[in-house]
Amino acid sequence: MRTSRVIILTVLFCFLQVTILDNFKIFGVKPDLILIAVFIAALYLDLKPALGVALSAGIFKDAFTSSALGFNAFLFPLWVFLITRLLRRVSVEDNIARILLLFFVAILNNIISGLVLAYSAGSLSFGIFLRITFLASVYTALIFALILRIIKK
Amino acid sequence: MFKPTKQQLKSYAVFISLLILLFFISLALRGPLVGVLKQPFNLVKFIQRETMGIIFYHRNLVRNEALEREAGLLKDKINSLNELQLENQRLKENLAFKQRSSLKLIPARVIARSADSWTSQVIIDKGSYHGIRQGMGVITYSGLAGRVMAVMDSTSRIMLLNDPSLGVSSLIQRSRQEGLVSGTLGNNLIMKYLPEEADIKIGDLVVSSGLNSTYPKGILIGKIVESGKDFSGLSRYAVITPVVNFSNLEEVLVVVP
Repeated sequence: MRTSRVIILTVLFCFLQVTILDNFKIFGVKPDLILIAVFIAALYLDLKPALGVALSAGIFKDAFTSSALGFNAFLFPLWVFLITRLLRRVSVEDNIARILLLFFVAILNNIISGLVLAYSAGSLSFGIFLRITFLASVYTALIFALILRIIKK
Repeated sequence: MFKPTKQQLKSYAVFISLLILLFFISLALRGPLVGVLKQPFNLVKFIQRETMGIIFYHRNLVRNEALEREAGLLKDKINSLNELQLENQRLKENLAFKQRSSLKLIPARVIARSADSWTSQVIIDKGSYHGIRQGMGVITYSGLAGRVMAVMDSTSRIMLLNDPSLGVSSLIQRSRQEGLVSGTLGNNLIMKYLPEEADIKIGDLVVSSGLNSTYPKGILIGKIVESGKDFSGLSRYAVITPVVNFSNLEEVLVVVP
């Protein structure tokens, strides 16, 4: 996939994430389209452009969340770096493997986000933490499966 | 002078009688005749129409395309008019609320929402330039919506009531029982720290208590749909369905204290 296409996809996903996605909430969670865009960048682009996309997407997400400043701007490039390192050692050509890898990244991302929020706000119950961590990751992985099918076509 | 003969008069009379007879016969026959000829006429009309359709095929095609374009444009126009009508209705409701309310309110539009599932926040198109300050309460014409968390020059970040980080001192309207309402990041809110003997009934309305200056007293929050004992067994909780639909917020009113 070309760099320009990934950038357009990332811009589109960032826009959708902060506008209409609230209407598609299931059990109070919505998929993380920005994380999907970053994951696609890590899969299809070289390390440097992928890091650029991840950093930009992270800054954008930080601007629209109440998380600590630079939190996502740090995490997204980290995921890109780790995924590209992993892809050098393991081939992830199969769609199922890609979906599982994204699910794993989403779970980790959500656990860290939830822990930071619980630590900073101190008002997050364990039930809400579990619901959002698990359901948001599953929802994100399912949407990624759908996007992979569209990309293949 | 012309003077008809008896024979001529007879012929005239016969002729006129025949005409009258024919007139009545034609009147009587008109219905069945038209009925009989209807099918052949229809066939002729059909052939004529189809022939014209074949002859003027290209002209019709171009005309059809133009009409389809026009229909599409008209449909778009109708959709945008419907949207404007709905917006007009919402703004009218907001205006009516603003006029009958004694509060000083700043109307604002929601322009973006939080990017993750961990918080429930929206960004509005008014900021410090318009008189908004951090900590101000935010309502809609139907009830309490949230609180201003951060203010920029021309935008503000609002934490919605269904965010667990936000707690609102509130009371059950019927029994005047006080509690703390906070969010679950889901569709419902939860009212906590209610005493074990609290008088709670399903369907009770919950309003803001006005204990702090952020939220005026008596602003509707929602309706109790469930109640139960806390995990510790020392206090009770109530699940509330909010009156405000947080997923579809489009316009809000910021309360100036």
